[in-house]
Amino acid sequence: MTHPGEPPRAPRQRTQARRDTLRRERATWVRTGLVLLSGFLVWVVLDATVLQHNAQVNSPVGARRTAALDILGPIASAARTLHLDVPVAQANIALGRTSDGGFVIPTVPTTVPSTSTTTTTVPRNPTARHPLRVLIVGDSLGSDLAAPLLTDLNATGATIVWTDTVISTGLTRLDYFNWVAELEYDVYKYKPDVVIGMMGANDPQGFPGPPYIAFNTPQWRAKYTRNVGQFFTIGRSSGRPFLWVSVPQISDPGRNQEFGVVRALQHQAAVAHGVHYFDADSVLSPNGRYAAYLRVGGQLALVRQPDGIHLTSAGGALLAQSVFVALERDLHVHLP
Amino acid sequence: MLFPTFDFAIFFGVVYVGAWALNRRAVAWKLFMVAASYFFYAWWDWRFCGLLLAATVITHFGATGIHASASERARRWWLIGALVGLLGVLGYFKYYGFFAVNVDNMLHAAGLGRLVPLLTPTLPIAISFFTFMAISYVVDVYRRTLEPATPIDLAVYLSFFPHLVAGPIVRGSELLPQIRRPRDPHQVDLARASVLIMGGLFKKVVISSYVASAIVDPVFASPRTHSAPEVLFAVWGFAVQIYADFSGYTDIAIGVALLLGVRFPVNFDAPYTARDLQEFWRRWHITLSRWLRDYLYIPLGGNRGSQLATSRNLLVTMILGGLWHGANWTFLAWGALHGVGQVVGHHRRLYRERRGLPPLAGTLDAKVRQRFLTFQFVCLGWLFFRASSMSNAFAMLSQLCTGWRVPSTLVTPLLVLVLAGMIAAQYVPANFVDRGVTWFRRLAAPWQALALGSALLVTTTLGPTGVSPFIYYRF
Repeated sequence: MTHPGEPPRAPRQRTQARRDTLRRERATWVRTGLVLLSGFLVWVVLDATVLQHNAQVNSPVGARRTAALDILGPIASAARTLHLDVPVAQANIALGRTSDGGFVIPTVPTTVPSTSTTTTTVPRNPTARHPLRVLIVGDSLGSDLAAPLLTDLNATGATIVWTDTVISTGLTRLDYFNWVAELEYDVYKYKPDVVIGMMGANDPQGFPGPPYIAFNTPQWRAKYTRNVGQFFTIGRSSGRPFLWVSVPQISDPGRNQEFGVVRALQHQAAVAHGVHYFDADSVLSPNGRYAAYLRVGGQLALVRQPDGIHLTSAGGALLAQSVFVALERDLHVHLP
Repeated sequence: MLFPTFDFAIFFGVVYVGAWALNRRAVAWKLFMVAASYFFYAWWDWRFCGLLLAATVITHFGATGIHASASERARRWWLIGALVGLLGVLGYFKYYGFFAVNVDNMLHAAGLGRLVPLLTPTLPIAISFFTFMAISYVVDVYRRTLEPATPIDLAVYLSFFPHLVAGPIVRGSELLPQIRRPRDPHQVDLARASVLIMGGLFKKVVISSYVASAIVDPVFASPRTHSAPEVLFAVWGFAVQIYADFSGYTDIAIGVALLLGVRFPVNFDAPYTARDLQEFWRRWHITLSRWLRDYLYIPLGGNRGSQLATSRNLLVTMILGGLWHGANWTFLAWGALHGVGQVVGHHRRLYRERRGLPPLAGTLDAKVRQRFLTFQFVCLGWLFFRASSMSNAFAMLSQLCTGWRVPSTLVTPLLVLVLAGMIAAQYVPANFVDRGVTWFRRLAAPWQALALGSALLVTTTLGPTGVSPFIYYRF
């Protein structure tokens, strides 16, 4: 700053003065580090309940999850005691989540029986006036099927289609996303004539518990079969047809064996619950082996994403066409 | 390792302390930084590290070979060797599948059998970015504008984790001097870094995620089931999403580098305020634009030849720029569209020049019209860029023309507000950010910590659970 009576500074002096000011206002690396660390800790304390919830339900069981819970547990307790979690909890509720940031799945009113005794009648020759009501549910792999199938079904002009796909979900970690409750609400809300489902890519993992149940142990198989059975029961309520699309072969041989466990249990449960089972490998895996490329309509196309699990748009479209045919064949429906 | 994750926060905490503790010990700092950067890269897949190392080795031998050669002929051969090596690796991992499918389809149509093996190499993250940096380095040494660096300096330059995955594409002349000399431990620009990182996180975690899930992903997944206004908003939405995503990533990268005492060049400058395509490319992904200009457009002849040659050079540069993003016809269409737009703009400027007029009309209504039309043209390009296939892109265009009688449930007031707000934010003067930096700088340390913690809290609370990868990670 120039004092009264002092001659105005030359541009070079002014530039130097500005640099000096900036120099003073910049920080040493130690001060910077302390500010960053403190800011991080402020966030961890104020968001501890959400972080704890995320560690609980959104992490695979293992040392990393255990360590996160061990660290976050006491911090979250302290935050709750001091009511430091209130702003975030209120914000989460306002945003339509649970107070700790989880999914809110609306519950079916108790006055409405969740498994209605009325029988669903599937229109055999649906039209625009009497459309076939279709609900498609799934995880991220299911969403690869849902989008092209939705397009194909809508193109008939004789369907009403709802899709409900949630990435990173499945039928193992119902603590993270409760698909049984979600489907129960979907069925109540949309009253579909038929449900089509595809999920399982995230299912080869243990149940966190307590007690923790490791993947593919007898207890795991029993519990997973129960979850799948519950899901199928909800979908099949009122005698509604349920078309289940299996998880196809994936590129990783080791993980493919794990997927095989999921596939087999889903197949058993489908048979037990009268669910129509569509084997995605019949379309996507010639000779039962993983294929990244397939000939679609005479043209070779990449049908699987680089991760070796998900479908490309060409792969999704190919599978959707076959599921469409299976829907007509297995349910004796004739779509225009 | 994604920037907006707990993993990165812990990683960065360790690297920050280690880097500053070793700051005065040049070799130790460089070795530490290479180790940290390779660890950061290996977090996705440790096998990719071999590729990064191979690119570094090819670059080093190419550059030293060029520098040591006495004759121009030998220098050129070293340059060609290095470029073939670098582009060969990029070509195999990025373009082989695309090439094989199209060749196979042609052979199949001609009634011939399969002559090209169908391999599915996993595309290593960041390969396009570090390959372009390596090429710029080798070419700069060839042009004698850069002295070859030591192997360890080169390794830091190519692998430095803040820019490694999605840029900015930093030149050797910009980064190598900062690697060679120790950084001033009393001059950490905490305020600017904080504003950049927090702003970048907000753009990525809140804005980009919201727009993607609210309109872009559902509409692009099945355009024929959506109305024309939904398609229109999905395309505008993608313009906002990709800007928020990519500029958000860049801001975080620049901020993280600043905390380590390293400065990166600016990569975005309000691109949607551009009045023509030439200006757009001076404001969008600036480090890629100047790379394409200096290492492709100018070597092709630039605007030094006939008008036809200039048009060809513009078109070739933009098409190759499109293909750099990925091996797909949609990226080629995107590049071609921008190429044609640039050619038309070039001839229009020449026409006005000949008539003694300024390159662009400067009246207020002309400026508004130019900005509106440029934005819409850029959005048309984004439609192809985002589409999963050409048929998906044409389905979007077709629905845009025919779907005006379908209800538009996805176009909500909140969505319109967010999109309009993000476009309007482009017109906020640049010194607005500087004021924010100055305000933060003048806070006492405890208030700075509280501001940082609160900003992080707002971002994580408003954002969805989990973070999807940045769009530019896959390039």
